[in-house]
Amino acid sequence: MKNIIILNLGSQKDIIESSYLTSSIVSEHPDHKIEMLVDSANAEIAEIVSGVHKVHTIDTTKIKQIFDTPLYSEAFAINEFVDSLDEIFTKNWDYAYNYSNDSVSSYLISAVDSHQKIGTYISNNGVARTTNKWATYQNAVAPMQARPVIDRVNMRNHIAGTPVYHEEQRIKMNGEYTAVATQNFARIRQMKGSSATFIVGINLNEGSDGYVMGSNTYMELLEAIEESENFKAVLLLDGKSYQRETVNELNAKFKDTLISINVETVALPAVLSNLDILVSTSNTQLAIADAMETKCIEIRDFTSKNFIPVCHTNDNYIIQSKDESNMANDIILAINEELETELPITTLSSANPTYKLIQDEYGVTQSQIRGELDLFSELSFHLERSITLENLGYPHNAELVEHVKLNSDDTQLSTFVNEMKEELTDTVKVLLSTLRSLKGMKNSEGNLNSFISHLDTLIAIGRNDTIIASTVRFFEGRIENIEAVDMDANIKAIESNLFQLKSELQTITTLLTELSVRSDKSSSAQVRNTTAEA
Amino acid sequence: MEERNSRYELQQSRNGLTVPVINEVFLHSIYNPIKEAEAFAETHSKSLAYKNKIIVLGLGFGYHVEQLAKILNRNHNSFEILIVEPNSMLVDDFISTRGFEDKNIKIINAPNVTDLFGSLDFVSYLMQKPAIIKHDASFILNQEYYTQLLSYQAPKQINQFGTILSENSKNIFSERSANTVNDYIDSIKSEKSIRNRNEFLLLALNEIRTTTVQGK
Repeated sequence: MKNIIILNLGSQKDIIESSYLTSSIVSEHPDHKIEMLVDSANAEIAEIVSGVHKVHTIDTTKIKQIFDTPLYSEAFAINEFVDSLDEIFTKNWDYAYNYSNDSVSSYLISAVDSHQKIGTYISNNGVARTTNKWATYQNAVAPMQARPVIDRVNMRNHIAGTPVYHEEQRIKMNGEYTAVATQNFARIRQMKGSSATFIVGINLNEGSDGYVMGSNTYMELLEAIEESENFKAVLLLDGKSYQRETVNELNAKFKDTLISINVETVALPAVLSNLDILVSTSNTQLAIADAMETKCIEIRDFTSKNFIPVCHTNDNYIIQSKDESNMANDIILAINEELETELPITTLSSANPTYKLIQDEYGVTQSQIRGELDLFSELSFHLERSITLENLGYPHNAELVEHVKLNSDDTQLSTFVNEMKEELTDTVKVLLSTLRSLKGMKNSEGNLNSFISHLDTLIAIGRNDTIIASTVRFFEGRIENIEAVDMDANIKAIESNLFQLKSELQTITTLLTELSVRSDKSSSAQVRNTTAEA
Repeated sequence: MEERNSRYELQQSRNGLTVPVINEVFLHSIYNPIKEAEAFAETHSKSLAYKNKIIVLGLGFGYHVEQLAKILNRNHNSFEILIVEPNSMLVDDFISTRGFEDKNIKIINAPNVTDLFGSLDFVSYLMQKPAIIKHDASFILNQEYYTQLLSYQAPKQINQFGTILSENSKNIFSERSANTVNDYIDSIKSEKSIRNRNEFLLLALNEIRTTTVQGK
């Protein structure tokens, strides 16, 4: 039996996502005892995560409020902090995992008495260190990506060295609530005369990206569902007044025939387990449904700066709202596809990008199946994923290359490849000059500044959000993780990482070569020669 | 007798209610304390409509507080009133003479402001952002006390945390000498060497203190 403490001071989404880890640990080691530290505001959510033996809380809002108010003695904040953590810090742990990867947890994990730390921690000289390459990737590369290429759940399970198991119970079910919900939902199904009636849950809560479905979308969606003999809609609320207003507005239109349920967190899993499919904006309720493997359609704002879906489960859908007038139609299309039904649709073409989550041998990824296509963006996403996974130890994804070549427009693909080659060539040039300056420094210490300057130029490339920039950031993360005791060992470690970067850039070169076989053989050969020179 | 009670007496109003008179200040109307209290409460009806937690500066003999409670009871499902009164003799006389029937009303009797802010109960109540209502006669009588209360700033020096800091918390500052929490953290950071677990804890605390709280 091992004692595990998971530091999880992030969002509710982080806490729900950690259920993929806790359920995997329990599946492999049923006798392990997992405890979790969360912010007091998220305690209720942590209580429903399966496999968690005990939830510890810390009220960061209160602590911050005391510090921020000159009236209150800081001593109260310190007492609150120390008392909250007392139990965790007087115990010996076998494993301590910084799951949420925030700065508070990174310091806390260094203070925890544990046999093994997992994730990011702070060393005695105040530098952030990571315990393996996946943790380095999480810390150095992923935060800069507006659309992370590696699924967070997979990445965090990899950090812990535990695979994601499917069909494990991730969310605790309350027996009493489940029995009542099952009974009630059987009645709801019978309202349409059959126990086989499909129940579509529609979550009225707003998304974490601020998106709320428009009234017309609700109306059109409900019209299609309610008019069908095979479907019944259930509106889900969590007590907010704007949701009540929406329900009233919709009920006025549907002559008070709609069913709405105000659900508290503890009862939510029981309700979600009775839905055939959930239509929801990107929020905690959706995260719970997805973790329970309820079929989900996630609706997101197209204009949002980041594209970090809540859903991680195979076959779930993500629709970005670009043209609200088509949203209901796109949602119905996804419902039809998923449940193999024939709810009426008005059009097959829409500007709203629809993605389907696909489980492949590398984990979960998003594949665009409808809507306006930004080819460069999609190509970048899939190729970066493939390159990243290869650099993290997975086999080369030859199938993806073939798929891209077969399904992309020649001219566009060629432009994409050429643009990447240009960026790659520039980066390789900087890498080569950095290696040369390193050689110079080895000959004379007077060349140290020149080397540092070249290294800075190389690292600056990582400030962008491109495939090559991500590769450079991964290198930077490794450099920051070097724990050499003297200058020579330090330089040696940097040199070794520069060569590793060279090899990773070579992976990109190879991929571009494979992609450009049809269109631009000469320039790919040129790039290959440049990296070979290194 | 405390200095603040050098001339302290309880008189009867025209309608037979007890009115404390301290240093020649009548704490309520000598004609009709209830009518005066009703008018007083009415002037605060706006804040009583949206706040259900109140701090009243000055106990007097409680008539004004009871009227505030009536309005709060009308407006809210639950409410709490905390009265801050420095005069111990007045508090004792009030409790022995009439007291409050309503359990939502509590009196905190702290002769000095530092003790008041050293009470976790009081600070926790303040953190709920209650409305603060002055009882003018009490305020005039204890002007220095209440002014000090309203402009209070907690000491930042670690050695002035006094009894507020628990034994466990004191251990956290055992390694270095520094005046304030800020100085202590700066000292760790400038040395670029974290000596022990307590210092990691302090740096974690510093992150909570300085970073924006994440969306829940």
